[in-house]
Amino acid sequence: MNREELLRKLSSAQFAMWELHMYLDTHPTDAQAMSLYRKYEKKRNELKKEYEDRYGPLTFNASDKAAEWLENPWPWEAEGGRD
Amino acid sequence: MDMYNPYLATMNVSRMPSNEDSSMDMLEYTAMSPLPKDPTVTMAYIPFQTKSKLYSAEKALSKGTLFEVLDKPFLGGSARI
Repeated sequence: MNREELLRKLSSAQFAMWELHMYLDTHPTDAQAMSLYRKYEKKRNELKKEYEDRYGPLTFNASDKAAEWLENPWPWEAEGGRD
Repeated sequence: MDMYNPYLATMNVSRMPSNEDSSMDMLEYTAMSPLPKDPTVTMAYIPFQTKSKLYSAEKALSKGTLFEVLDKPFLGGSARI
């Protein structure tokens, strides 16, 4: 799985979590929805770890190395909008 | 005292036989009914989401929703009757 595919899978899992979060706001007693939320949360955490292990931190709190994200390419350094 | 909630299901909704795509996750919520059992005249009601087939996470991201029942693409003029 290349970087773009991995990021897309990560975004998908995160999106599914947000969707189920909103669903649970109006359907708070739906245990099946809650277990699906947990499933996607687990998947998101696994994918996030895999991504960060390979390509560096995604967010500020992702790394114990100070300011490591500064080493990632800046938007204007990415060719054609992606790298 | 609990607030009056016209959507609270008075009986369990019977489960529909699923002859649909079995690979899709399905949520079914029985605590509420889609519409009030005892609607009041002149009041407008919004059907409550009770049965939801779920897209895969990847499809959900491209569709903009995880729930097939909420997938309402904008069709512009082509939807006019």
